[in-house]
Amino acid sequence: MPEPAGRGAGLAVRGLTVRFGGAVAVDGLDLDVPRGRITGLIGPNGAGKTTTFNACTGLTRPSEGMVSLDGHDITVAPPQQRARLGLGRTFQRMKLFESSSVGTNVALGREALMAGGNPWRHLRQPRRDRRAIAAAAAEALALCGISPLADVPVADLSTGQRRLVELARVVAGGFSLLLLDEPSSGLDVSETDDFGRVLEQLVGERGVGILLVEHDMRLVMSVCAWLHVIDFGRPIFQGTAEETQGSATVQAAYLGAVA
Amino acid sequence: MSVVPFIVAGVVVGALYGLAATGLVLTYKTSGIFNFAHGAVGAATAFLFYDLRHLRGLPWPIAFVLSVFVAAPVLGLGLAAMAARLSQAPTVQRVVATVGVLLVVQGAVQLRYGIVPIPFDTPLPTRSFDIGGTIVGLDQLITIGLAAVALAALGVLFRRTRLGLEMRAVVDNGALLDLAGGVPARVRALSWMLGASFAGLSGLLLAPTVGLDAVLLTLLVVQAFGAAAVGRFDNLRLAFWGGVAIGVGQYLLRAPAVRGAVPLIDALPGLDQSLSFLVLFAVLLVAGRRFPTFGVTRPARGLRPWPFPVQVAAVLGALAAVLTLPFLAPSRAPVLIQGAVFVTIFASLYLLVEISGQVSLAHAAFVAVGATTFAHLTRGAGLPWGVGVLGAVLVAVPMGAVVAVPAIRVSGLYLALATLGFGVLVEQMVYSRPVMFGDLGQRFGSRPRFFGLDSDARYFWLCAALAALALALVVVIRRTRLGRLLNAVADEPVALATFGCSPQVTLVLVFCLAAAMAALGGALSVGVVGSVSASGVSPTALVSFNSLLWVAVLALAGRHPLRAPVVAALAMVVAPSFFSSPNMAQYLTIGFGLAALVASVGSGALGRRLELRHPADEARIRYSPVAARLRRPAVSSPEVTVHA
Ligand SMILES: Nc1ncnc2c1ncn2[C@@H]1O[C@H](COP(=O)(O)OP(=O)(O)OP(=O)(O)O)[C@@H](O)[C@H]1O
Ligand SMILES: [Mg+2]
Repeated sequence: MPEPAGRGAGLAVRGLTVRFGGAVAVDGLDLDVPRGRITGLIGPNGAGKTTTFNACTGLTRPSEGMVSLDGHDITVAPPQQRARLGLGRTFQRMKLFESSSVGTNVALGREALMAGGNPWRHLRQPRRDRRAIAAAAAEALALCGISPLADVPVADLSTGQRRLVELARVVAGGFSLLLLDEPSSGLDVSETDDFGRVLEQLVGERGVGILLVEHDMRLVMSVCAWLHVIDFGRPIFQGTAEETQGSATVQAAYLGAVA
Repeated sequence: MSVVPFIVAGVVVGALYGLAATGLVLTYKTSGIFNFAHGAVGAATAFLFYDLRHLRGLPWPIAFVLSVFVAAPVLGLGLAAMAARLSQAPTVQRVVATVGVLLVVQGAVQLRYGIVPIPFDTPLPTRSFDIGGTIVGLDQLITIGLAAVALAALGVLFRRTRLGLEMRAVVDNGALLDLAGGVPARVRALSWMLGASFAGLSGLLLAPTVGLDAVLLTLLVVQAFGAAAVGRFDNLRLAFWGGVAIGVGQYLLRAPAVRGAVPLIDALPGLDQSLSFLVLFAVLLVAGRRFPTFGVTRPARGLRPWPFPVQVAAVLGALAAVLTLPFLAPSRAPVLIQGAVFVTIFASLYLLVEISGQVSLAHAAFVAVGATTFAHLTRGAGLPWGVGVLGAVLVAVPMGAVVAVPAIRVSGLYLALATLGFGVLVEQMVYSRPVMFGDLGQRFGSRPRFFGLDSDARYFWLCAALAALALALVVVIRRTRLGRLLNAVADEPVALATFGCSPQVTLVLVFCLAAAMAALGGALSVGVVGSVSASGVSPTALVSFNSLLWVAVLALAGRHPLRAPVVAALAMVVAPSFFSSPNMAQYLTIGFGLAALVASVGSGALGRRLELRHPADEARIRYSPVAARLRRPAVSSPEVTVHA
């Protein structure tokens, strides 16, 4: 199997293991998420995909293994520090700022980073910041095709629209690596196609790296340059989209999940 | 003297705390509603027994059965109905609803039986035995026996009956419970009846230790909060033993042998009474993150601003009122000044509760620290007025930071409980110390002497101007970065962290700011009549119980940043002065309690008028991630064999 990524660049996960009490959710996982392409992470329900994301973004402490970003060991770093290093994510169970409008949600994607951990920067908002935030938010809204919704409270949106707000918010953050957890669930077929183009645009024009968790195989197969398949927390396969589709191991895992 | 009798007494009292805690956890786990009125139920039951037995002369077994096994469960049924309507409500609403019950019950008891404690002898026989050299009272044995019987009955119910099995399935479920459809109504009803009975039995048997005093007795049963925390708000057995441990700990702290061995105990008067709250605060701080949480934690808000001309008219009207009032009603000057001061206090509470979603139940302590610091600096150290005010504000800042620590660790209900514990701790352990109110429970101070500001009219204007500044600050914060971040912390602190902002910093900032504003109010309140005291029954008294009242009143006053604090202050401080009744404090407590209750759970005409929720919230709940997840069809297993 070819080694897909150059050492040190992007997000690297080595031997990641996460246990909840006795249950092993992720078991010895290796991943490389370089910039400039979309890497897929797929597996049946409960395979440990979201848990992997949580371990990468600092919401769950790994039991074993290491996570590094551009060579920095971030295994135990708090989430905000990982964000400052360029790691952004969306949530499968969406975590929008419910009491704010779409525009404010998206703008907060950038503003939160500027406030960081500095009390003074929580209180002050220099004009330069404000311009940068407005520009980033407008661009992200446009890219995701939800500019007309900017003033709508997020609570009034449909599930599909809310997914797009989640994406726009993380895009506005200007992160160089994005972990997207089932970002297209709730979108219809044509929206999903648009969505795939947005992802490709992000990678092509901004050079970001994306780790995509998705159950929509059509989307996964069309955009991912490299796929990791896990089952019961264990890596069972990796390869290109074509190789994955042809793999008997992968089919067995999914069929097993159906039965 | 041996410590054994203290341990025995501790076990007896502890068993009663444990019993109350068992009832509390039972209701919490089956409904997701934490009953702040649990102690009030216990107190009410004890008073009812006293009424039936001593005022009406019923034989004690009948009085006992009627109060513990009839009245308390009926009250429990009412609470169950209330809890059912709150299953999807945001935290503030959940807290305010049972706080409303607490206020109503406590106000009603005080109204009926007065505020002077009534001596109450134990209804149990008090003969004593010598068991292995230790004197043990028959009443003590019977108390332990009753607790054991109650628990055994619960055990039998759990094991032998269908309903009990269902109930146990709910209680044992450690995972998050979706209350929308999860728990059968009969399980919930039975749990609340049992819970109320346990609280009643506990209140009745604890009453002889303090006499019939609605506030003290409520607080005594509330010791169960600490025990429930030991049981992680989750485990009935652990909650019971937590109660026993707290009881034993309390009595050991009183034992001369222990006090002799650990001199520190005497340096911390009130530690025994406060032990439960110390445990509550500490457990939440250390382990609170892992406790069960329920439902939606925050409402969405839809603010409908008044039309611009109305806004202008309102501002001009308010200005005219402030300028002319001191002349129109010179005799009411103290009330008006106090009202203006409370606008500042409510503005600071608004910053926490509304903008940041942090239900803080320690606000009276912030105000008290401001008031006493001001008194110490001015009357005590002879410093100028301005230095006193500034000092008060600055001293409160680190205190706000201390309360922010639990806010970083836990949110929602557990933060409310941790801050309640903190407020009670400060009241019981620090108020009476020289740094605050001292032994006499009172401190003095005066108004500024420059520019004639010590006249009633001018001091009122000064306080009104500072209140306006406080309101302006709140409005500015809402519109700037801090306000957006606070809103985000309230909605999704985890998401905020993954976007690079440290929610800890945001929370510490807002608690420091709110504490400082509350302390400013405290400093100004000293000038109302020239003194401030540690106790009192009026709604403005700085007792920790009033922190609950203030949150309820503010929630009732709406959610507009300018209107809500003003309306709250008018309703709680100014309006009552127009009615003269010796029982005003009780009527107010009952009135606000009822309003809070109706507003939280009501859906009738009155409920809608007072509604804490905006109609748009309904939509938000419908579209909330939880609801969305429920609506989302199960992900069908994806096909991998799609052919390109
Ligand atoms: N906080 C937790 N405590 C205990 N077990 C957990 C926790 N979070 C996840 N799990 C378990 O870990 C396993 C992996 O869950 P995870 O959510 O990562 O799966 P997933 O691959 O994202 O599934 P899906 O496709 O349904 O989103 C599951 O068995 C789940 O029940
Ligand atoms: Mg998942």
